[in-house]
Amino acid sequence: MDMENYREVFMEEARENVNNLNNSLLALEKNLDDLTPVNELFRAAHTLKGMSATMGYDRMAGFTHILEEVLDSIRSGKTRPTLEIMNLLFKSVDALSDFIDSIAETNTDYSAGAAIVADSIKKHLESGQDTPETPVIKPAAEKKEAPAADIAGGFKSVVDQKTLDAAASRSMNVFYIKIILDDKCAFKNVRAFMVSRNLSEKGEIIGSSPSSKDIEEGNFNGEFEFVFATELGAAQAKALAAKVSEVKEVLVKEASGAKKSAEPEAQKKPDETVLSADSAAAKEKKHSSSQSVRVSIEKLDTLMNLVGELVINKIRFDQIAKEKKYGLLNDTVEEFDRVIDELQIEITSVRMLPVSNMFDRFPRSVRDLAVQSGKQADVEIEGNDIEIDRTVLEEMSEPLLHLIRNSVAHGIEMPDDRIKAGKNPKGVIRLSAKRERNSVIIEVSDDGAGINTAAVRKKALERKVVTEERLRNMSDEEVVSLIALPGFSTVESVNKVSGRGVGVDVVKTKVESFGGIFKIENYPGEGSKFIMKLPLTLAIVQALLVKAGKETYSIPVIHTVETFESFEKDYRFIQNRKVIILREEVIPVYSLMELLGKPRTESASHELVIVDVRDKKAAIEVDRVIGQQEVAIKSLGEFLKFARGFSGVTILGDGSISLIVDITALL
Amino acid sequence: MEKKIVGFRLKGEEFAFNIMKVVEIIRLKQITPVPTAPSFIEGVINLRGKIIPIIDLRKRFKLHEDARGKNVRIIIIEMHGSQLAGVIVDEVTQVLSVPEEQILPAPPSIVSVGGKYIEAVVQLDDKIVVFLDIEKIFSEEENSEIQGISMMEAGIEESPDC
Repeated sequence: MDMENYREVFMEEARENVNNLNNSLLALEKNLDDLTPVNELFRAAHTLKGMSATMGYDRMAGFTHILEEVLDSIRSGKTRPTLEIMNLLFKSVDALSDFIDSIAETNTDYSAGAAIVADSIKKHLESGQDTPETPVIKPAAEKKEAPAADIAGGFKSVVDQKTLDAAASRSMNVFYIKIILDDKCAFKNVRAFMVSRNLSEKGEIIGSSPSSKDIEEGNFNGEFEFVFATELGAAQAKALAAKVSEVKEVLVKEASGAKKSAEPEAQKKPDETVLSADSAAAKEKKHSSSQSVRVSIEKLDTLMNLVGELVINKIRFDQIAKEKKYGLLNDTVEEFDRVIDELQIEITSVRMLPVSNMFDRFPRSVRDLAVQSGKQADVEIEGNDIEIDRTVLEEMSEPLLHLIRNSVAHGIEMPDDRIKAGKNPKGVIRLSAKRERNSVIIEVSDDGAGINTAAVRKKALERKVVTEERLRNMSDEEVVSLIALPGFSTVESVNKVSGRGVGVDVVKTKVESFGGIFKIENYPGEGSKFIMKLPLTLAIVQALLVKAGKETYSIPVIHTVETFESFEKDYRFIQNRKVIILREEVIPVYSLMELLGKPRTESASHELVIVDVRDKKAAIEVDRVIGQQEVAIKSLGEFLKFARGFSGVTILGDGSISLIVDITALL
Repeated sequence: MEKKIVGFRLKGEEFAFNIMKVVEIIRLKQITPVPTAPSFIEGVINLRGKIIPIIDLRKRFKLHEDARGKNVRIIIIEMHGSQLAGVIVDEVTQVLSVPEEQILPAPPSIVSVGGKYIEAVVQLDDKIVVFLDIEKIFSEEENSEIQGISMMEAGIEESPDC
């Protein structure tokens, strides 16, 4: 048992709360007159304060204390949430993020910007209400010599009257709780931590003796004290602390001066309901999280591999049972099939996370980017609960952020221009996720000006990504796809919002590395849309098994459109290229054998697999199509990772190997 | 100190691997070619669910290839990390214990089959067994062959119709 475990829990929860803060701030910013989100803000700040104090991150606790004060002042109507205040609040949340990052990296709470933000907030609070001419904060002038140390200030005292009053004003009880541990207790600090966690779930620890740091390090003689603000009664609070093992005795005393019940009943009521509703929701959340187990990704990968092998054996078993025709065996095999299918679905789902994990951070990014560039933009999210493999999710997060940056920088117009074009001055960036069979489709769209194809043409020539002659023959649609070529960027200069050296090509490459599909749709004057079709899971895919030469190859169905038989007489030649005309569409024909650098099998008839790669159709000629099947992907390994054209291998029912063809890389 | 080695024959010459690197020896089984892989990689096999790349030392050493005899084996070897690889040999001869003093560094002027992959030579009675550095056999190519592949790729990228 070490603090490391708690640190992870702490960081996870802290990040969650920072996320809540961000979202509530965005909600508040939408309508500054509606103070409902302030309750949630306050609650999240409280939780963070309690948590960081418990963990001994006093600088962070001190900082959240100040944040809490200003929130309290807003809630009570003393401070109006002006834009300036909002900016300060957003900066505070950033500072909290910095704290958490620093804790993650070095286990010390440090934030370079916190001191300045805290100072500004303090000035705001001191200068009284509604002073519009508060000093402008200069984030560039961050003073290194004043890290947030001084702002931790008075938190270490057990409890001050102000805190008591604050708790009382929220009609909470405040108790001194003394916990005496068993004499034989070996991990005093751990037990103390568990007590504090139990308490934090039902209220808030607003002070301790000895200091939280000493408690964390175990510098106490078997007994310690918490000051606990809660809605619970004394007996319930006592029970919470006593639940922890090796706790010998718990003493509870109500703090004098707390709980003023003199407030008018009418005013207290609505506030109370809000709070209790919140805490009920929080309780439910806590409960469900205690029902889960943390599992390392490695273990999941191993399980996934095992299930993959099980699936292979299942297919093999199927084949044998069909050939031998044992009635009884068939029944067993069917049952076996069902169980394995379910197992596979379950294991796959364990690796899945809702896209909200990724989407939730974008509204804040859009807000900041819009503010920086003097634009206005809202984010609409759809399909937040759609789940996708966590590796895909993690890897797609940056590329998506890049697309969103692009949308703000290049898509959304300046408010004046939008008004001129008859649009709402506030632009909309839409993020959506939807499930389609074995894929998840993620779209990023905006209602901006769309992609300026004339500018793209010009830039493409300058960057030499295409020859003049070819460009002349290109349709606007094809021109749009040029922005996804390496080395292309329409940004005039390196601009703060986008243009960080990565382009749309990086996004496209990433999507394709997962065997996905990347598309751009452009609606001049109305906006643009980036569409990413991603596989649901990376471990098992639906594939078309085809025969070419002696070997059986697998082509992931995400790329295939249809298959049919072809004869030599069906082929046409255009500019020396073999093509086939299908429903008036001219489609180039490639022999799979030739793509793989081998001689084409001569035969009277072949089968064609029509694939859709980068928005273009191509016909892949194979000797025979065997059928569709799900295949478990295995890596080709270290030595063969440079073998072009294959994304992996799979083992077929008869134990033979089939290479999984990466069509995108071959064409 | 004695060192154990696995001896094998390739076109009449005697070679050996350090036994610590050898995982198992199997009979030749169906090899699935990987068309775009470096030419000396024969392909991959399925060994109880594991995908293992197989190299043909005759191709690697640019020896004349003739039909494989019935004693042909695949020696499965563990390379850096836990990556497995297989080496096709004409015949596995014996497992030997060799006193360390009999293992001599390869003279720089040595001109023999397998030239630059020789780690040492072992003097045994009347014959000399060549001790091979298996990791080198697999990794050396990365400079030449892999560059070749990426050049191929670049060539394909340039073709405007794809």
